[in-house]
Amino acid sequence: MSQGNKILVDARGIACPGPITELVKAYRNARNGDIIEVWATDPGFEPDVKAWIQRTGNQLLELRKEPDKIVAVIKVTAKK
Amino acid sequence: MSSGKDKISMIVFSGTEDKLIPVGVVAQAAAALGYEVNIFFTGWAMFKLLKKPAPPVWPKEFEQMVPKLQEGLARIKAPTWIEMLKQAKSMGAKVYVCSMMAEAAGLKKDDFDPSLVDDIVGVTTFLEMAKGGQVLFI
Repeated sequence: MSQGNKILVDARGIACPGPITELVKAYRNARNGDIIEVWATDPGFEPDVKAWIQRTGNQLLELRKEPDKIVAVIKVTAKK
Repeated sequence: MSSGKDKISMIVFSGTEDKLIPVGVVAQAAAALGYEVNIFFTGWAMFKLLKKPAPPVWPKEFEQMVPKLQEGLARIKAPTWIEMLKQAKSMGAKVYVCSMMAEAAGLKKDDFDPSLVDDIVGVTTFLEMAKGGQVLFI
């Protein structure tokens, strides 16, 4: 299998529901195997990205809080 | 993404900014998640979709808190509810105006901003669209 692309979504400074909207926009053009990394500062992003993962069935590889941002690393697995 | 069976419909009646903001937020989030989104503007809210929209109005009882809230919204760079509604529309949300209220106000489809309003429809059409999904009255 070919290696997926890495996509960075910088949603820092964007208020809810902006970060999820930006993630969805990137997801639309993504393919299974791609890795999407999202940076966000809105505190709602942490629970929201978990809800999005639960809804879409993609894989959350990592969700960490850094001093200046929340980072979510998602593996795209649920594209039809 | 979802199978598209999730659906949310809103009847937007109040024309005050405090109630229009959540319309934008919920519409944008739901559209991003792949919900079918139908928004039916009636009452005072309808006048916000005109080519020459009604000016922003806040409810009297919260007037003192408005400057602080606006400051906060600017600080977090929150988009306006109109911008959020446009985002929602770009992801498939539909915006309708109540034909009965439009008639009562002497407004035609041509009076409404075509970048916001998809159509003028009767409540029967709206109820059929909303059937089986969640409905909010705002």
